[in-house]
Parts: sequence; C-alpha cells; structure tokens
Amino acid sequence: MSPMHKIILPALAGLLMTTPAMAETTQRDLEVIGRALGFVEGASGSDRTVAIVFDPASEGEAQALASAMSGGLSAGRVTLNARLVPMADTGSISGADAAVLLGSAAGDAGVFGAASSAGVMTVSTDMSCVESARCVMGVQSAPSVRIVVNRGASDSSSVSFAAAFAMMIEEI
Amino acid sequence: MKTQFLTTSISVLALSVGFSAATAAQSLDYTAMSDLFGEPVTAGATGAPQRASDVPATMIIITQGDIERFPEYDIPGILRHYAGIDYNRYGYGDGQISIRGAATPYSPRLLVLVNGREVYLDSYGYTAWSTLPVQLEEIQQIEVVKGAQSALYGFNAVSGVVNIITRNPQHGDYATARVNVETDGGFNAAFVAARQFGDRAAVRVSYGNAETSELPAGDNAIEAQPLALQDFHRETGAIEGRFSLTDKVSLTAEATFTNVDQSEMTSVYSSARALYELRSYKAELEADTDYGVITALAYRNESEIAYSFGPLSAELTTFRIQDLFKVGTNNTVRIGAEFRDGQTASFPDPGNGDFGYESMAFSVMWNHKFSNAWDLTLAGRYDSVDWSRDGAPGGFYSFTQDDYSVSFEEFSYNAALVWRPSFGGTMRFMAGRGIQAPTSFDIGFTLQTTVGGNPLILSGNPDMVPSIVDSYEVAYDRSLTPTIDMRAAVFMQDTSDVRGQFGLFPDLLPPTVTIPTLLFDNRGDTTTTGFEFGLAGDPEGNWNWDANYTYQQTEDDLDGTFGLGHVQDFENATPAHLFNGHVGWTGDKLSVDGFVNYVSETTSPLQPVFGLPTQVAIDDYVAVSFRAGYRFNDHIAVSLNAQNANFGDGEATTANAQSESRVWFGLSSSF
Repeated sequence: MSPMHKIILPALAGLLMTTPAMAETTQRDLEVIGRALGFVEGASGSDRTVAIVFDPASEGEAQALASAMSGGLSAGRVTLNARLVPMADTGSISGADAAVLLGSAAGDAGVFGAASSAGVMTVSTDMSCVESARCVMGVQSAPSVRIVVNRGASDSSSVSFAAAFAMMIEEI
Repeated sequence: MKTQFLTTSISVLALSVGFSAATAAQSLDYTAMSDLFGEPVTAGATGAPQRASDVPATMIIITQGDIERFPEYDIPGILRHYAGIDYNRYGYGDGQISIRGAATPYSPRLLVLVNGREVYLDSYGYTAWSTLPVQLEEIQQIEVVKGAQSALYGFNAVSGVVNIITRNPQHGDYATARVNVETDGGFNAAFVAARQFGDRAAVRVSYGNAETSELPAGDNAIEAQPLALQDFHRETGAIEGRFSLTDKVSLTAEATFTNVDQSEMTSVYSSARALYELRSYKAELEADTDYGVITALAYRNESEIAYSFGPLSAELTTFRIQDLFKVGTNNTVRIGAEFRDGQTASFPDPGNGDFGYESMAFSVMWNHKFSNAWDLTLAGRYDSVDWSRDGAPGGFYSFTQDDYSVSFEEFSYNAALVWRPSFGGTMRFMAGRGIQAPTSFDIGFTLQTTVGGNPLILSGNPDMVPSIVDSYEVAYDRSLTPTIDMRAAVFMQDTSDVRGQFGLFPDLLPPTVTIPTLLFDNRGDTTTTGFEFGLAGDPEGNWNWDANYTYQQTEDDLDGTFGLGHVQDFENATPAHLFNGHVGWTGDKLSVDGFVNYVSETTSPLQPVFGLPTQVAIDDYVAVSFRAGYRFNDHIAVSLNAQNANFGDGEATTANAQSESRVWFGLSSSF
C-alpha cells in the first residue's frame, strides 16, 4: 500500500464510521473490494472504473470513497478510479467495470437492472443485497474475509470470475 | 438433455487469476490470493485452490517470509520448528523428516513434491533432502499435509506430504544472489532469477553450490568416524519455462540436475557415504475447457547413486491427467488417472536381471458444502501395480525370475468433515487409509557379501505386500484473541505390515538355500498416537511469537527380536515430547529471531559395523538458535546466523552424528 493510501484510508474509515449506512464500509472492506475486482474476467489492463452509486443519505460516504480513489487507488494489481453516480442517474453506470452500491442503492431493483443490462458487476458490503440477487457480490472483511457471489445475478450481468477465485468464495 | 445439463450445471474452474487474460491463465497467484483473503492459500489439500482455514486437513503453510527468518540452511531444518514434525540430523546434508513418528534413516513414510513432481527417491521411498534442486530463495511456500494422503497423492503419502512450490516467474521478475560463509570456512551459495518475456513467456533459473565440513561422528558410530572427515558437497540447478500458448492453454517445462556427495545413515542404521547424480525433466499442459481445467503432466526422474554397498541406476517415468471442475455452487470434483513406470538396473550386484514395475491408478475427489458451517470431502484412489524382472538372479538366490512377476491392487481413501461452529473456530474430523508400496530395494535388491568371512546374501523379497497406514484425527483451530491463534489436534496412525529390513539372523538357511539369506520383509505393526497444541501471537508492534508442543507415543508389535529378526525400533526411537518456541522482532531494517527446540530422550538402533546391531541411548536435548538480519536497502541484505548455538563442538542428537553449533554470515543481493 502506498504511503498516501496509508493516510487516506484510515481517515476515510473514520469518516465512514460517522455516516449512517445499512452496511458501513470500512477501510478493510475497500481493500477487499478492490482486490476482488482484480478477479473479474474480461477487463484488459490494470485500470478499473468503479461507479459509486448512492442515495441522498449516503452522498457523504460516496464522496469519501471517491476522494480515496482520486488519482487512482491501487488495490493488488488493479487501480481503481471512481465515478460518482446518483441513484436517480443509473444511466451513468454504463461503461464502468464495477458499481459499488451504497445506502438504499444496494437492493434497489432499478439500480441492479441498469447495471446488469450494462454488464457491470455490482458489489455491496450489505450482504442482504447479494442474498436477494440485487448485487453480484457481497463483501465482508471482518472478523475474516467473506466474499459471496450470487450466480444468478452474475449470469444476468454477464459477469464471470477467475475460477480459482470462484473456488475460494461462497457461491449462492 | 445431457448436453444441457453439462452446459448449465458445470461451472468451469481454472487455476487462474484474471488480472490479465494473456498472463498465465492457468496458475494460482499465491501472493495475490493471500493478500485478498488475509491468509495463505493452497491447492495442496484436495488439488483444488482453497484458503488455509478451509482445507480439510491439518496443514502447515510456510511462506517465503517465514523461510527468510530461520537460521537454517535446508528444508528439514526449517520443518523441525513445527508441531508434529519429527526430525533427525544424520549428516550435514542428511536431515530426515517424519510426521508424527520416528524420523528414521532413509525415512520412507513421507511424500515430497516440488511443483507436483515427486522428488523422493522411488527406489526406496526416502527423500535425500540435500538433492532437491531448489534454493530457499525461490520457494513461494512449503506446504505440509499431515496424515495419510494416498487417495490424493498416491504411494508413500502415508505419514504426510511436503509440497514445495516455487515462485511463478509469470507473476513478477526477480533476481537474488546469496552466499553464506561459515566461520569454519564452509560456504553455501545460491542464485535465483525469474524474468518475463512479453505477456506469454517467463523463465525461472536457479543454481546452488555448497561445500562444508561434515558433522562429527557419533561416539559409537565407528564407520561414521572416517566419513566425518570428508566434506559435504552439493551442486544443483533448475530451469523452468512457463508459456501461455493461448488465453486458455498454458505449458510448463522444467529440467533439473543435482550432484551431492554426503555422509548419511542407511535404513539398516549403518553409516555410509553416498554420491547422488539426479536429473529430471518435466512438462505440464493445462487447459481451461468447457468441461473443467484439464491438466496433463509428464515427468522423468533419473537417478545414478553410488551407495557404499553398490551403485544404483533407476528411472521413473510418470504420466498423470486430471480434470477439476465444479458442479453447481457447492460441489467441487477432481478426477484423475496416473501411469508410472519405474525401472532399476540389477542392483547392487550386476547381472541379476534388471527389474521394475508399471502401475496404473484412478482417483476421484469430491468436496460438498452443506452450508457455511459444514462441508465434506471424500477422496478415493485405486492402484494396480505389476512387477517383473527381465533376467534370472544367480543360482545362489532364492527367487526365480518368475517369482518377481507379482501384482497387487490397493484402494486408499481420505474422508474429512469440516465444521465451523457458531462459538468460533474450525473443527476437522479426518480419516484416511494410506498405501506404502514395496520399493525396488524391497523387491529386487540382490547382494552377495561376506560377514566375518562367511558368505551371506541380502535379498529383496517379491513376496512383500504393501504396508497399510490407517490414520484418524480430530483438529480444532481458532483465534483466541484478535492477535493470538490456537491450533490443536489429536491423532492416531496405525501401520500394518511395516516395510522392514533384516536383522542378524538369516531368514533363509541351508538346506532351503545354498547360502544363508537375509530378506527384506514385512515386519509387523506399529501405532503412534498423540496430540499437538500450538499458539501463535502477532500483537501490534514489532514483536511476534509462536510455540508448539507435541506428545506422541509409539507402540510396536514387530515380528521377531530386535537385532536378530530386524533392526527396527520405532517405539523407542520416537521422542515422546517435542517443544518448539520462537520470538521475533521486526524493525524497519533490522530483524531478530530466536528459536528453541526441545526433544525428549530416545533410543536409536545402530550398526557400528554391519552385522552387529545394537542400540544407543540419545539424551534429551535443547537447541537454541538465533538469526539477525539487516537490510540496507531494497538490494542489499546481510544476516548472522547461529544454528544450535548452545551445542558447541557437538551434541549427540542421533546415533550416527553429533549436531554442532554452526555460525554463518549471509550476504544477499536482490536486483
């Protein structure tokens, strides 16, 4: 991790702790999400564009995420670049490599429908999102890393993962 | 309908990570996976990639970061610091390892692999660890799987498996040159490098050279005393190419050589010097298909060994194919087949007919996840082996050429139930049946000699049957606090029809035979039970520590009397208590580690001269070792290592040799 991110990520985590959310995103969650995005097949190069889809209540959290990724957030062997997408503007999800769903965007049928029709992988730290097939991936980093992929959601989103990765996660 | 099932229900598994589709589509990126999951990953327990906390076996995973911290010069030295590992140092290069039971000379109960290629010597089933064509700096991780694992790995995996995985050159360039200089003038040098050529090719090369004094001989080891005056010499090299033929197909090719000259202890507890010249060639093709990841592996091991009792020339050729795939979301399946051809020239006496075997095996592994809390792994393997000899032994031998045309068929299995209870941790219930097949020594050995002026024949025995090892284990791992982890296991390993050697009294006497004959034979049963307990702490700050304790008790039910009927004594040669501790401190540039090992008293067989078997008491001992490393920058690092620092000029740790305090200075350059 670069020195910049060692500073930014704890600060971001502290900020997020103050933001009401259905599933608060921690520093470790961000690291796991970033590294997990590296295992989505089909993308070329190391740059990944991440759409941060937020509702009005989670705008602060979204801004903090975007700030952490400004200039590119290195996570494993990929670099994440943020694109802020208000929940009402789901058309802007298209073209992204992944969409991190915040607040009520996680579990919203319209958001998932827009992302999946655009072939964008959706991810949330709110596990109910992946369990209800409104997200492709759910991520939890504590007490140990837990990654859940909804196969139905991934199929409908035309998203596939490196198979070694698929073997080491939970599929539902 | 069938096609539809296949296309809709089978999800293809590739041992790949998808950072770049053109890069190494088929190889598991251990570093990236470990970083993601926050724990080591492995494919060593079932053949499928898994997180260490999920494996259905008791495993030790030793990473490159761990290896760098040990004041040890070889893999047996590193392994001795872990729970359940029995270790004996019979010579500078002859460290022997066993899992949960005596580390006897030429210990034949362990399967050792380097990148999937067997590196134990198939001719007897033991591992001459100094001959492994691997430098410590090129190791990604060492995986130790405890207990019988024949259903997954095949013969010899009866007390466990050591799987050594080298760093994949497709996952990054590196180059390191290192030299260790001992205070007595010995040296140990290594060079390792990996380089990528475009997106589709990468090469790894390594070379090692070492020369140093042998260990002092044991007080009673008469024949070891002149051998101890000679130097140990080792030279090894390896070159590996990895090629992505397409985005879905990759090829790995590897060639290695080893030349080693060392003092060692033989399986009949006699002191000897041996010269090893080993060569290997390997090719592996992996294809990510609609029906799973299909892997085809072929390798050939060539051995030219000058033993004290005669030369051995042996070849092992192996072909293996497997398919790994997932059915639905909760089932992982691996099916495989293996063909082996092992040939040995008439040994050690020439002219008695070359001999060897052909074997065919079929295996299947199934892992099913019932829930996040429960999963089950079942594996089975069927082996069929046919021995033959292409000439008749001389007239004084008791077996005809036809007697060597023997076959056997065996089934082995592994079963493991993994439970992650709501109160925390992981509990594993495991059972396995391992097969230890008779080897070339056991079957085809022919030697006519004299003892005390009397003619004597030492002979292999085609009537030998495989040893069967049944193992049972319950293990529990959990984090006690966020910074302290605990591991515990209770185990039992029962071996029937132990592969054993002759004692002083001939197995065949005139008039049945012309010359009294000593036979390799099955020599009864032995059972080891015990438990392990370990703690590891990694608190905030610079310190880390770990400690483990193993209690083991071995009971023999061997045929005949020690010395007359055989020279085995697993019961007294197995230490009841093993304790290992470590404390480490890590700063920005300086790291310091201290290690302690305790081994309780044993009694070891010894033949100070052939034909006079006796037993030697080995007192319990404590070994203390230190290492300090200092990294000047990203390119230059130095270290000071003191192995067994409290041993002085020698401490009797085996009947053959004394372990002494060794101090060396290390200089390494990475670029």
